Amino acid sequence: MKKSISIRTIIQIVFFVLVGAIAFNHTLAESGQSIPFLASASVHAICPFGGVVTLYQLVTTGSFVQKIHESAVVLMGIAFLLAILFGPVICGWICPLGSIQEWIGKLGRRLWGKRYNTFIPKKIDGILKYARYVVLFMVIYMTASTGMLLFADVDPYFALFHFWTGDTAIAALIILGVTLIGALFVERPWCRYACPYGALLGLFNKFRIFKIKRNPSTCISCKACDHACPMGIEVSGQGNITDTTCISCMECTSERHCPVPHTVELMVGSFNPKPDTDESVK
Amino acid sequence: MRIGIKQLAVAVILFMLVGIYSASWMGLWSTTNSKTPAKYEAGSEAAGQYRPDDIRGSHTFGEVAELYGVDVEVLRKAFEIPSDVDMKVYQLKNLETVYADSPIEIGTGSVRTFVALYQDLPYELTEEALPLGAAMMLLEHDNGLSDEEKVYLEAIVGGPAQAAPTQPDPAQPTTEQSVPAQTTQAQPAQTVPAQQTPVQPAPAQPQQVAPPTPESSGTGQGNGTGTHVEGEEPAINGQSTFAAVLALGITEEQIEAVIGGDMPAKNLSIRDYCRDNGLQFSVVKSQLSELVE
Repeated sequence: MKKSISIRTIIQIVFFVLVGAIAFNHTLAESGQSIPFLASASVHAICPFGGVVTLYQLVTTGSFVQKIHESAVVLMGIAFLLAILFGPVICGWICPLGSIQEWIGKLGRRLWGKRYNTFIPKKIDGILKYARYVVLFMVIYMTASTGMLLFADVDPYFALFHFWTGDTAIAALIILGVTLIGALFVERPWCRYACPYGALLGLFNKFRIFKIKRNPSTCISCKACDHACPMGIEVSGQGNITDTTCISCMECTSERHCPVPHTVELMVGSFNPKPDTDESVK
Repeated sequence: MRIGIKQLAVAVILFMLVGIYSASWMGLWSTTNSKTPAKYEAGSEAAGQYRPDDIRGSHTFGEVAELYGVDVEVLRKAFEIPSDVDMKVYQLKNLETVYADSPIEIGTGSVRTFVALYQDLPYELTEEALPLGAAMMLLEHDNGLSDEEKVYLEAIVGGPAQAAPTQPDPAQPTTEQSVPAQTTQAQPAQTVPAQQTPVQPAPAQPQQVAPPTPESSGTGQGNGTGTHVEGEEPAINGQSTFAAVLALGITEEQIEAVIGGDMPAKNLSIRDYCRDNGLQFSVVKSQLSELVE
């Protein structure tokens, strides 16, 4: 049953505020002022995708792509470790861009009710989800071949935390705008259709250690998990959720929206074949 | 074994904290580039001094003044920075915005050139443009300028093109000039200018792009491509990478013959490669340029 505010939401808020504060402090630091005790790193320095795009140059020349620092590579490593264990938790728990889309999506649900998330037909949605991989390939290729952080010119995450400065590319601002408005109609549109980092982390869902699993013997096929999933995954039709769009948000699990205990879980191993007899549907 | 939401939350936070603190403890957590420029190596005539070609756009004029021993007011005058701008925090990369409407590209590269010539530091002259006032100051200062450097500066100062009837005094911002743009929005309690309108610097000096080689890049920002002057052949400049040279039609074998070694990483800047391998960039550049022609 849905709680009033989940732990995940709290963590999302914490990271959103933290990244925003660091980005703002970075702006202040450039003019000689900064908030003490708060980091003033650039948003590029605290984005794990920066580590991904600089890998080629780091391996071939020992240097970083402009504006990328060691911290991004460290965060990339942490994200990969988490993804191997639990899947793309960075997407579902930490990424501020994903979080703000989700929050706007709540407005969208209120506006459109059951029509929310239905504006794009499932077939087209299924095809569009592969566009992320095109973006991923292009970003990595162009960064590797030029040594420049070209993605920053279209990156809505960068725009989200830089729009108050004068050096955000118009394209990035437009894409941010489209993303935020799109979130009113589709849940997490950037994550679903365009995020290159999500595309990469999503691949870890194929072999992560702790998987989201559905117990078919206790499942009552109510589809609550399907409705709860922000990425439009048909959880009710699968045993192990290995969809590359899963963001490990846990909304489909029995702790959140699934009404039957121990039916949809993040786990390793198999379900206990004998469910507790005195447990009832929530 | 199942993981609940609370356990996952703890795991996420723990991984982040432990990962970051471990990296920090190992000295691997860096969120900024070191702003200390590289120094000339032992054996160089300027051994131990900071290399002007390692000046970056993120450096401020104050930092450049301190690192290279150039009076900050000299820099202000050379680049026509208004007197109310705090040079300690004013970054070189702002020059590109300030001079955005200028027919010549003034940027970080221009500052590198100016500092190198002002302090008589070994430096490969490229095609960086300089403001007229900066070129005049250098000629007047004449700290061991070579003949090549004098020709370069005189081409800027005494070049043919200009119809500009008056040469504005670089120390006196003209009335066309507005406060330089600052790319950040930091509100000025301080001297950082808050407006976003670009400065209109000393106008109409396109003859400043008549240095020895006709290239237009003055931004100091490597973009991996040879820059082009409209209507002229593609050129190789200080920001060119090996990828850019290959894109101009030169083969890897030709490059290897010029540099006398194996083809390095394509996204490496040619100038950086020359510096790291003891080659003269101007020689390599001219040989590669001949191959392009």
